[in-house]
Amino acid sequence: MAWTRFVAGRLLALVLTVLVGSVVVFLVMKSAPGDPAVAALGESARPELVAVFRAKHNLDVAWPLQYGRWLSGVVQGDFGLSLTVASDRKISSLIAARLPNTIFIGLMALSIAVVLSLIAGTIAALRRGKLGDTIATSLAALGISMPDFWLSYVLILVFALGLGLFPAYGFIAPGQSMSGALYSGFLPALAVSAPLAAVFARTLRTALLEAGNKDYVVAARSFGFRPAYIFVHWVFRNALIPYITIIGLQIRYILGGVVVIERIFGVSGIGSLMVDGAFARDYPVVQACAVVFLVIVLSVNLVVDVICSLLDPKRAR
Amino acid sequence: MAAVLRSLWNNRTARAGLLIVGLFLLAISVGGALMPYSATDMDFVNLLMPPDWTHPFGTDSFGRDVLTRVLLGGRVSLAISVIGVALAAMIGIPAGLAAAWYGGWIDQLLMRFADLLFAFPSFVLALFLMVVLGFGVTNVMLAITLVYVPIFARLTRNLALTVREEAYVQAARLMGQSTARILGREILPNIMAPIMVQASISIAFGVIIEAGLSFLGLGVQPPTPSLGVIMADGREYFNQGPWVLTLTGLFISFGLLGLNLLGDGLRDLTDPKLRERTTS
Amino acid sequence: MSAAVVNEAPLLMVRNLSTRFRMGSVDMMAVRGIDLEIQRREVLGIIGESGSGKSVTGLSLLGLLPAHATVTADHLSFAGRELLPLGEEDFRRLRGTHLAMVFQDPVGAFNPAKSIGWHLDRIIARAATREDRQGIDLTQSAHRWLTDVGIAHPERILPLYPHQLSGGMLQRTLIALSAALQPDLLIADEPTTNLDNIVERQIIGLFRRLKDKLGSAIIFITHDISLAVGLCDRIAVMYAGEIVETGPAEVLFKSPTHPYTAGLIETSRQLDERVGRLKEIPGELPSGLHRPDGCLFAPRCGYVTDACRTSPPPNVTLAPNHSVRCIRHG
Repeated sequence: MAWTRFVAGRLLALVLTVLVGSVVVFLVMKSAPGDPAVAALGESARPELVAVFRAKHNLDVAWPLQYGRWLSGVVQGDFGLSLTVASDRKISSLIAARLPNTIFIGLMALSIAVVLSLIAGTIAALRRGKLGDTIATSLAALGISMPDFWLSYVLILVFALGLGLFPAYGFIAPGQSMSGALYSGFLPALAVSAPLAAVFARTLRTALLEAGNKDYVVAARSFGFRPAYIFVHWVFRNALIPYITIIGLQIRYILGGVVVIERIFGVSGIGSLMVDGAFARDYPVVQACAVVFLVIVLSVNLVVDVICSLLDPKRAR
Repeated sequence: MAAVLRSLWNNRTARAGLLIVGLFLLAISVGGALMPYSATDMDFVNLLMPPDWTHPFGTDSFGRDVLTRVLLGGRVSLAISVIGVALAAMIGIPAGLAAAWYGGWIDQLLMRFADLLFAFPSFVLALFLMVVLGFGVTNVMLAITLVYVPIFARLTRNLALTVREEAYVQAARLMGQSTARILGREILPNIMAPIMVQASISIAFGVIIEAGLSFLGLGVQPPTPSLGVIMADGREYFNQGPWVLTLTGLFISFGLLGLNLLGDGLRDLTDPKLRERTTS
Repeated sequence: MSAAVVNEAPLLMVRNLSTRFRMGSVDMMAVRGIDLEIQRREVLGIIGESGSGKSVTGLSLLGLLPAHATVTADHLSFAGRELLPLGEEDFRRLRGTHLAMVFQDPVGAFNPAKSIGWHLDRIIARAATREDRQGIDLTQSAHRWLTDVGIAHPERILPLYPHQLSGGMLQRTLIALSAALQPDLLIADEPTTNLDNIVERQIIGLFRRLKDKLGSAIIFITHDISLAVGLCDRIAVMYAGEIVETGPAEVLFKSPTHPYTAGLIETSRQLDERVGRLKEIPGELPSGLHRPDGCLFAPRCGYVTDACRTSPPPNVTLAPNHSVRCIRHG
């Protein structure tokens, strides 16, 4: 009961944040210099055409009304029509086609980062001050210092152009072929995951060391539990809460990285759509992508919060 | 200040960071002048030469020496990031102090706004701003500012809340000192260390944001040679001359490694919990 | 009671136990040259100010100190078995079956992510590994112990998490869980220090009731000598990592021979009578790094002579069960 209220409260907060966020996005977009009609049709377009364009794209009324119409469309899953990127196509269908690819790459990157960081963070904490720790923490410092888009090219150079193990460009949608998506998505996901794995591993190391110093570990030892058992149920179990929290906080960076990497590897996703929209000054597309990213981040944060509340008895339920 | 530097020097991580950052700064400040080439001179005899002793980073498609351009570009990129982060600190720190000091609706309003900015992927936020404001050096700085304002504001607020109830702050309050004086003289100096850690890490990520935006063509525009612009250029002929992009990126990673190590070292020194552990 | 068991071989015998901590390039000696013995079913109090090494002694006996600590001893034998040569794995098997400990901070002793019932199940499973426990319903007995320590409905607290219980409740629970193990030796390390006065009295009363029923030997570590007197058969007084006086509790309390013991009793009596101005023992403990040449207590002692400062005092046996480390009795 208390728990459903907690989740319901968080869901309500999510909806409110998206609403406020969409107003801000809309207003900032409106304040952009230049007339979208002129941008799309050119300086010398005939006034009748401009009027038709304005009516079609919902630009012929005062902005509160524009926002109201836009929002009621968004609620029904309609983001309006694209101006220039894919002229006159429904933005919602563009997003529907591309969102699975972005989510796929994001999840794949997240999985790689979690696996790598669990290994590196645990080794670093268990071998604290020894060679394994030094190697793991140095790799982490290095991982954080590498721009992901640069790492993409290094990976392409080594694994695609050099060894020929993976394709350098192009992505097969998971809907088409799951194995193809895993194969073609590996390098982009790896590039996004490297800095993340570094951040996760450092957090895990600190959290493990902190939990390992707690009195409850001495108490557990006084009961004669096996060291591995104590590590799993006392140390790791309590380190898990800050570890999962940091994953929630880093989701913004995962998605930020995906935006650039999609362009490099030719993944047709939300990020590359937003960059295309930015180049073509396709305001409705950029606006729609920003709102979609907002919803993704907030949803992931909600899921992370729920997981944390299940893991941590002290959190409100 | 001297004492801080000495304790930094005694920390292995911080020392490595200081050395790398020092070397990086030295390279971009005087390195360009020491190079026998100019960043703009084209040399059509030596187009896309791989790295050798005369051109350690090779040459680009116009025969320009890549290292010379990278040293100059490092200066541009670092300046953009430092100015962007400094602006963010100048807005975020007072906002955070105000939120912590006044509480109530001011706190609520500022923090909800920070939460909202936090809910966007940082790169998406920067990209969004570039679309609205247009491309170019100034707007890249503003984009970096926008990304880091909520981070500084929230950090400052949380830190200030913890020292607000300390005896020395209460004493200053009872002595009737002005709010501005208490915030500036009593609170701010006591929370400066973690803010400095955040600043050094932010500058590192600011360089990545600049490079990322410019790399996509949405940030600094050629011919201004920022690191992102040089990499975007190198991307055009990556198959023929991969060294332009990869070595430029390596140079960035080197500088960022220094900043990150410095941040780690600072954190070791300022986090009492960690300090306790390093002595035991 | 101590008279009845005096001829049996001691359950735990400690000879010349020292514990040092490596701190950077120097070693800090926290405990030096401790001799102790404890009979089956006996209650031994270890008394001293904070920093006197009493907790470190307790942790040393159970092998619970961190890796940068080194424990050395001529003998550390438990039920006739030398513990120090044991491997970590063999030592571990003794804990939770034959040896157990109750900690100062009950809140910190529990795994915050797990329920009380989870702790109970694991600890019972641990206790069940002892050969002579086969076929006994340990869960049943744990519930009985929980009722015994004053938790009327154990099943109500089992689904709760540590943060949902008060410190006093947690300490009762921890004592009950340790009691359910039926260890041969239970070390209680200042089990009441973090609790308020009323709860402290209840817990002491609890130990007093339990000690006969439990059948374990108990080492009760505390800084408050008046708490120990009502509970313990014998008392060892520690000062700066050394034992300065050992003897039967009543003898020690009525006629202390070491000036430090006398000081502790005086302080404690004033606390009880709520005297307006406390007469504390003046001065501070010497640090583990810089020790005086002679008697460690000399800088704070009211009876100090020049001889005290030149050479360490001898350990003088006053009666078969009573010894003191002071030059005045030499």
